[in-house]
Amino acid sequence: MSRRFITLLLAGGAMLQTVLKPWGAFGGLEMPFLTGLVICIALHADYKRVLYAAVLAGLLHDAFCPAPLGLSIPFFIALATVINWIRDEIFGDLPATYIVLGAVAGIFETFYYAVVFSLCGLRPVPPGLLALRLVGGIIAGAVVVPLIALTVLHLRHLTLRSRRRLT
Amino acid sequence: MVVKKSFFKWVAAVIALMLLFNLPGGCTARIKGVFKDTLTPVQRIFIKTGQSLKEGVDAVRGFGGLLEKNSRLSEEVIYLQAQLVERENLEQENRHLQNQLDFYNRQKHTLISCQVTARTISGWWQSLRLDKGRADGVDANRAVISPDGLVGRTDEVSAFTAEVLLLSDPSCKVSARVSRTGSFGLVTGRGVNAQGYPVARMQFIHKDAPVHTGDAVVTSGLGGVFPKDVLIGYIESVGTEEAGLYQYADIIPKAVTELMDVVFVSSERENTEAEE
Repeated sequence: MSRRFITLLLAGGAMLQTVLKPWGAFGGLEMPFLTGLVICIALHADYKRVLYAAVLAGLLHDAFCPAPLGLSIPFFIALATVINWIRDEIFGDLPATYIVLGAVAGIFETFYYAVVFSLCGLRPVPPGLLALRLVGGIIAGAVVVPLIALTVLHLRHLTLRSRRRLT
Repeated sequence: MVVKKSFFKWVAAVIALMLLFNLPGGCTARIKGVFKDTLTPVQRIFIKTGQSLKEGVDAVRGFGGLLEKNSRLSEEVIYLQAQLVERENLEQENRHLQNQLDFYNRQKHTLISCQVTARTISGWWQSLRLDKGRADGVDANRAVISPDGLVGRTDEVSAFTAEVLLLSDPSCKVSARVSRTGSFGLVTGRGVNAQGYPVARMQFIHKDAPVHTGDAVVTSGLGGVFPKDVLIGYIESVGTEEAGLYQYADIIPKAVTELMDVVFVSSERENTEAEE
């Protein structure tokens, strides 16, 4: 995956995430497009590009919400690093891989923001809301991440094919 | 040696992150502004295309329904029906625009009309983004209103975009009063309920104030950010706080629930076209 491809993917993902309505039934949960893209990139790119994607995803996430800039970068770096690190053990380009990773990332993301927001006093995190968002995070991650992976891999295949045709 | 090198890299990354966290407010806003200003025009195209597609799908659905119900009717009738629907839509749009114009003319301060381009990327915040910023005279911490009432206040403003903190966001606080009784209180956002509707709570209402379900809550005008007597919403339920010193009232913020594509940002300039 080239840096340009990663940049375009993340910019598109961020735009899509801001256009879609949050899931009200699960405490206003957003669709995890950026998380899904970072998971997909972490499974298919070398570590330098994975880090680039994680930092860019964090910056894009914080730029489009009132949170302080840089707050999401540790989350995306941790997620991308862990997945990149264990990818040889778990990697199989199967929907099941993405479903499990999506669900786990959903839990991790909700916990990360709940802890950071509580510690910084940025948001009130009542236990009920946290429980709702955890359940929603698992469902959204398990459903959205495989779909994103499918789209990204298809796009990658198309760009590779058109590049081969040009050469 | 390799371990040492990678250790230093991680230390450098942590220092860079700490620096990023502690950047001055203006610098952070500028960096955020670059991202927003770059992506908002593309986003606007996405939204317009989405709206056109939705309208198209709605039209097809309408035709489908008519065809099912009136399969025996001739094409001419369907054509006339479609024209009627189109005329009704135009009339509705006309009424809608007339309302907005009347609302604009009633305001003492100049209002800047803005298009809603996006929502917040994170569901932890109740905010949205407008297509106008400093270049169009939109400032931070100004009231955002619609003909249905108060929407929220502007937060971060870049050259061409403005972030609006909705009334349902926990960090949006508005001094308010119950229109019927005149009892004062403080409205604070409470996110969304299980049905996905935005909710807010009016706190610190005098314990003896006769507040009832259905009473209208309006802005008090205190504090200087929000203009006086703008509708916030209607009381859904009333309760007494644990200590028994004050009452509270849960409110459905009308303008946030029925949020439209166009909202107005109040500016400091006086509206010279305002009706007496």
